[in-house]
Amino acid sequence: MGPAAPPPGGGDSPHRPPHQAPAGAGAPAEPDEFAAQLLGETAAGRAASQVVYAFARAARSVVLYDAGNQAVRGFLGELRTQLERFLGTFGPLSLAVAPWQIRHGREVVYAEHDRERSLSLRLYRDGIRRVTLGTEVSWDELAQLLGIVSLRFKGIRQQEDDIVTMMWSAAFDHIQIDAVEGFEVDDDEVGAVEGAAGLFRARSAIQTAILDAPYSFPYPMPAREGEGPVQLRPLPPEVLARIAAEDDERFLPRECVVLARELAAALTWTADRPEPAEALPLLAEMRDYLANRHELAALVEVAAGFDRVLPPELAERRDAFREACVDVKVLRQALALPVGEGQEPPAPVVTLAGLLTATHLQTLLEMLATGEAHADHPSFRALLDGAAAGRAGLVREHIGRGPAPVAIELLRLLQRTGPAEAVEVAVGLVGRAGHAVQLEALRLLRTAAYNAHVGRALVGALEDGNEDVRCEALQQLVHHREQRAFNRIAERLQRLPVGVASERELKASGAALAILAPGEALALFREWVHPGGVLGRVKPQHPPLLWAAAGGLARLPGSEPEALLERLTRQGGEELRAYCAMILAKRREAAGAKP
Amino acid sequence: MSDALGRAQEWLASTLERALAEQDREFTKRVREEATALAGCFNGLLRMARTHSLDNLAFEAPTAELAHRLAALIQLVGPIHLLTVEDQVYVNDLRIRFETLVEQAFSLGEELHRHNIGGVSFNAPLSRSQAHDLVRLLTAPPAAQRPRTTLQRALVAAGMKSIELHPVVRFKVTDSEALAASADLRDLCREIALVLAEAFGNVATSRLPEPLKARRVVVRLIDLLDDAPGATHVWQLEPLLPDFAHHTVMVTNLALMLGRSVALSRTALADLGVAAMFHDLGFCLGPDGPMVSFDRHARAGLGVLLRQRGFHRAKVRRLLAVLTHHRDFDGETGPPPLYSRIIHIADDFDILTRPRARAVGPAEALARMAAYAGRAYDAALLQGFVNALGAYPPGTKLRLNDGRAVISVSAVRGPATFDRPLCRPVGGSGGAPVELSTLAPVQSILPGTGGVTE
Repeated sequence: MGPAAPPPGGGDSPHRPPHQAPAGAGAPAEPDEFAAQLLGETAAGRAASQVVYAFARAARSVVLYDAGNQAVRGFLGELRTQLERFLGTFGPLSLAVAPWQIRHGREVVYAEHDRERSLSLRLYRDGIRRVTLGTEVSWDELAQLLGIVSLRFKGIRQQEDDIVTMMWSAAFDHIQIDAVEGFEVDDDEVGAVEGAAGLFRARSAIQTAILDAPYSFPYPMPAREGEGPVQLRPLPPEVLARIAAEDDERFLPRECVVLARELAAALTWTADRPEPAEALPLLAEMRDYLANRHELAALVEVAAGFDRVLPPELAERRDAFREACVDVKVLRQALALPVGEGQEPPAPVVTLAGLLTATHLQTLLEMLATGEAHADHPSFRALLDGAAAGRAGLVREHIGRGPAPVAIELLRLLQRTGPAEAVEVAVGLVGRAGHAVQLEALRLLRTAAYNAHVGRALVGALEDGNEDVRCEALQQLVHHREQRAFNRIAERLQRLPVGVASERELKASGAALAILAPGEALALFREWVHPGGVLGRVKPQHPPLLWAAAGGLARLPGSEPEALLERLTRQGGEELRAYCAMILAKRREAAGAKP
Repeated sequence: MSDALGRAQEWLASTLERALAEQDREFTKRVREEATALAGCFNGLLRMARTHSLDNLAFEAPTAELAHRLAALIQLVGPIHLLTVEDQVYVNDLRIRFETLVEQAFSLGEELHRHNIGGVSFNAPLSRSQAHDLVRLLTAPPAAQRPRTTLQRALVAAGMKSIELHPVVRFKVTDSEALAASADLRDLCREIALVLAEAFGNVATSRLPEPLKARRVVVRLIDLLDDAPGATHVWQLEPLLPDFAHHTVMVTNLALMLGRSVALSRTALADLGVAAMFHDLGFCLGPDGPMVSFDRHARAGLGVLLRQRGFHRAKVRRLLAVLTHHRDFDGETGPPPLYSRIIHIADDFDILTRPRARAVGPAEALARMAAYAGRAYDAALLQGFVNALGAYPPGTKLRLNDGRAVISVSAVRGPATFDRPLCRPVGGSGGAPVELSTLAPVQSILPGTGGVTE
């Protein structure tokens, strides 16, 4: 260890550890939690007490704080300082562990009777009786020891290890642990042992059957013919390195992939097949492990590999397995992957997109609705398209739920993944949804196959409260030459009050009439511009109709339209007259230019 | 200093994260609750019997509850071991906390200690009347001589053969010295057999085996290998073990020797050892009890082992080892995982040499396996195995030039002893083994196999 730094707070007096409250967090546990209570009579005893209490504080800090918190860092710093001071002054630190105390030599240097707080009780209960730290102990070793003890403070119940096996595995070079190794019988009733059988008493029926089983070794002999050389050949370092690499934790993702494949294959067995439901928790565990380590490629391989091998008879459970492999955390990680050149989603995302279920679709739609994800992100689009494939109904359900931008994206999604259904939905939206959504629906209908259903929707849109919608509907009706809309357009124009429709719309309506049925339109325009009969001459002219007529007449060739336009240059408002004059001028210019 | 502190924080975080991922909180909570209820019920019954006659009808409900609690916990985890040690009470390694002052004041340990009992194992459920009889026997005055033995006999006479009474124990503290004495080997073998019997029994009744118990034993086996050059003790274990455990323990030790030979980490050795201890658990799932056929055994255990919740590196590798330990290195599915390849070698070696018709001697087994290096077996691992066992693995019988027959009793003890094992005369009366190089040159390897004590 490096040279000891001066203790925080200075001096040897008891002090509060140099911790800070976690940023943005609520108030931490009361400061008394960590108030130092130094014990010891001699200088060495007090110094040992400093170390032990610092160790206890650091180990217990993970109960209150995240390990990365500044407070924990402070406790670790104090521990290191105190230990360096002790080792540099007094040599190795040897501590005897009793249930409620820790002693250094004869001195009690730690005492804590609170079961929740007691370091000594935790060590004692887990079998530790003495801990000796050598002068050469490294900080890394101490950190390892601290990590092991912290698990006990956290109350984590492990299945594979306990504190003793973990310390054994750590194989400390400069930390000596004296631990319980089983029990010593303390009585004299144990009789002479009569061979192996005498060691064992009657047990449960099944254990009796096992323990008393006669010698039977039905294993078939491996077929091994011939002989090979048996020589001492030390393994080269690169071979040992290869084996070590396979042993390394970094190889575990690969093993998860293999296990997933084996598991899926196991579900195809005709005998001894595990229950499909038994596989789900393991898949979820592997998913969480790989996701926590950002091993997305391996995780996707686990999911895809399992999916590939899953037997057909379990098809109805496929979604459950896919959901065990992929959750919202995995989706988020997939979206965080950098996108390739040309804005192509990365390969794991493409694979993942083919494995998504209705539940995943719900999640993605929620991400879209909340703004967490954006439809223009290539990976999100890929995932959304993958999840929505074959689930148009679910997309459709969501269209009406979210705000307009979301509904628009969903409509586009539907158009990509379920075109027929998209048309049906669009038809349903026209005349009902907000104007932005209707416009999107109308845009979708532009490229759809035209039929009476669509036509009716377009005609219905003529009455919408939004001009853009009405104009778009007009445009499409004209595009599709829907002559049956002529009368509706004309009727609407005739009942339109002044000021409802803009000049743009009125002209467009007139143009629509002229395109759909020129002859009929001309008759209407004639009537509107130059009404016949006595009443027609005395009745004031309706500006909307004049504008519509102007827009329509501009589309009709011939002398009569021109004469009507001429007339309009002398009646109506100034803008109308100017418009008609402009049209006439263009027509005359075009006529003059003709050879 | 800041980097060191940061490293420590990272280490803390990853240790906690790994341990949290391993937890099966739901199961642990259930076990803890049931165990606490059982201990509390037992404690309460014994306390009540101090002041009330057992004929009192008031005992009906609590004895029924004791029987019910016991059955529930056995169903959950298999055999229940209630142990009192130095004022602490454990149920299957879970320390039980008695909350109320009344419970704390009445010491379960003291009550049991009257009969020289330190703990009680329940290997099967009890009926209500059996629970009542148990309390009656425990609260009766202890026998003057050998009280525990007397009480055990009384339990058997009362039809409660599934209850086992344990002596009073205290924690033993050892340092890192080797457990080389035969008394310690006997103790270790007992522990191994009990752990294995419980593991196999649990699997046979569709309960999980407990990897931590196996790991504790494996750690001791590894320590023995570290401290015993030539691993002579490995071949001394079998006479101390029940028959069913012979193959499993030998494969475990051989796998560990191979693992050490290729410099696996201590953690990996422990994981490997547990995988080897469990590699044949599938045999226990026969329709009428043990055993399933050989063809099925690799698969049969999977369904039970899958029930272990909590992610752990050891669990993943163990599952793979159970499933694939008979697969060839060059098989259709590609090389099996590392532990599977190691166990495959250890397994086949023991299968070839285990005494029975057509068994071969250890040296011949190695030679036959060597012919399949790169095919059935990972060549590098097989070489590691050869390097560990030597030219004349334990059990190899040799004819010397002077006509004597000797048997190898040690594996490789150091780089220069590959072909110089410790040997004993065949049929000799004992005495310390001597190195082969001190004897007459080897004339031939004798056929057949035999235990090292032959």
